Amino acid sequence: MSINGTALLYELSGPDATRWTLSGLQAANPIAWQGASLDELSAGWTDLSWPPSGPWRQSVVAAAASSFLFATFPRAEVAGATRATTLRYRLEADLPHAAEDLACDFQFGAGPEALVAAVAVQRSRWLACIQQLKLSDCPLQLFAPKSLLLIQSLVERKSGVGRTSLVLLHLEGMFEIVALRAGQLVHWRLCGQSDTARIDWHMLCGNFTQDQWVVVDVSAQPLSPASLAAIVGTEVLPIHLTDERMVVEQQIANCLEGRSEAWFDLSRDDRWQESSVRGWGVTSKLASSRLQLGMLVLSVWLLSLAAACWWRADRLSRAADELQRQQRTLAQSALPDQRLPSAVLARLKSEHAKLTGSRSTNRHLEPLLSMLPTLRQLIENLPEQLTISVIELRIDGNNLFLDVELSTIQDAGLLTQVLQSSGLQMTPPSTSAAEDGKVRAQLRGVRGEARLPARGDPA
Amino acid sequence: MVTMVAAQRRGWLFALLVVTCLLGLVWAAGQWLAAGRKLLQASEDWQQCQQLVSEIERLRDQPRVASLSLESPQQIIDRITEAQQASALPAESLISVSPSTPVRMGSTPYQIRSTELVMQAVRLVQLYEFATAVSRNDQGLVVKELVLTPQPVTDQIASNAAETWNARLTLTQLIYSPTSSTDSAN
Repeated sequence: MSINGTALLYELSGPDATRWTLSGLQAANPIAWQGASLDELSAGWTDLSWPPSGPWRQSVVAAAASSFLFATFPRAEVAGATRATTLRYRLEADLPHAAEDLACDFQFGAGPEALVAAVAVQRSRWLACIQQLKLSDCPLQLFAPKSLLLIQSLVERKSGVGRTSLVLLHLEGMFEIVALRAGQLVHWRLCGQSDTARIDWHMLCGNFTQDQWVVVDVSAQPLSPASLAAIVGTEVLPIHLTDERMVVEQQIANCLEGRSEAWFDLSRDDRWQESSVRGWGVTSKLASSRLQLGMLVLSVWLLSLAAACWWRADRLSRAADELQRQQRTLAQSALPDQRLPSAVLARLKSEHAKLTGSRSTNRHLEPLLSMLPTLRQLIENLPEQLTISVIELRIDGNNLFLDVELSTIQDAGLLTQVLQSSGLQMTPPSTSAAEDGKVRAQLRGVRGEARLPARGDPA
Repeated sequence: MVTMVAAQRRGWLFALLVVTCLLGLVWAAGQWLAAGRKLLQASEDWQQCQQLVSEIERLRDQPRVASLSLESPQQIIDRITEAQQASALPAESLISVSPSTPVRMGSTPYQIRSTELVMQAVRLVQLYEFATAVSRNDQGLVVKELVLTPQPVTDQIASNAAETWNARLTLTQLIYSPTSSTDSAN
């Protein structure tokens, strides 16, 4: 794993309340900020430009000893269990917090009298900070005591601290007593005063040979040999480290890049994934600033699309309204004396149907034929030289039936011929003898191009 | 944790904003589709309107051969009276006027109503003028049938006038009257 883009939350030690700094791990850039307490980090995210935004892609927390709780217990008491869930409940006997409120990591010794060493923090105190790191796409990769990282670095580099050592660590007026047995941490205590450190040292020093006593002084104001001797009880050549931070950062880099594994890394505790807030999973994801920015961009994009759709719809609607207006104007010009209903097309169809139904162009229509043209044609073409007594005249449209009495049978033929030449299509007359030697003739004809009625058809 | 809650609330607001914008997009897209359909329908209606108006104007130039409404009995009487006056036909020459009930022509949208007029002692010229005056070709009203019989000679001698006739005219009117069960004229 590359350490590039690693944000290091580093807790500065001091006699008063500790302060945190944020910087790039082993980066040449200056510290982003410093001076906040953990409570301030938890409460005032935006004021401190926290959570870290920018080039960070992972984070490391190196906290002072005062943030941690330490306990050991025989491994036999937990019947060889190694699951943190089981071991956490064992810690309730030694630590002042309930198992549910502990996040911890363990170190296991070997042998019949092996111990389990546990380093823990109060989960509720750190949860907001850890979750915020995760939601800021800056997940926690390492959460360890910086003093233990320092000592681990000295052990692994064989720089004066062996795997079995009793170490007095002096940092800025505070003392830490660290006892290692075969590389396992078996005692770890923070002492605020030299007297407390002396008492703690004398309690433990008998378990270690003198060559296993180590004093590491990383304070800007190292202890004098006399002060050291007062605590340790003898003159011990201390290991001076002028740059505690550099050593710790190097060890962190070794851990991130896989060259070493931190003795205690509380980021391994899966309790950080849980939340006391119901529905933390989705809700916590929604709190991510990147996701929120993405949702804002998506909203703007959706809104733009919606605006474009609405604008286009408005244009189309206006065009449709214009066509409807033109339609109404055209219909009104065709029906000038009428008030148009809202259904203009239906009105036009109705008008068209009425006109088609009443006009002579209707192919379904057989027009009524007036008898007047036939009557006129008959009257105008009756030969004057013939004496005709009309018995009955029937005209039905173009059809003509004439029942007359004539002088001779030749007159019937002549009458027929005359009417035929006038344009009437006549059938040969039927004649019969009438009274007084006269001839009764019945003539049938059709005016124009209509079909001639056959003999026997009704008149 | 207080700040975390604020960030979560902001997150939910953004999520609500996304959902709202998405619903807005769906609505706007629906409006777009509806407007498109409306324009398409309006275009089709416009084309149809143009065709119908063109047809209507063409049909209006065609002679009408059917009436669009049935004449009332009073209208028939008035028409006959006017025709009598126009043809100088004596009032007593009109014996009877018998309008019939309109009859539908098969399954067509047309009806026919016949009115039979019985007349006596009319001259042929008067008869022709009366028939011409009573007809309305543009109303589909024609004198379709005529039965003429000469008036008896004794009556003619008594009238001491030109040859007169007894006539039975059938005044027939064609009415365009579509119903839902008949074919339309088109």
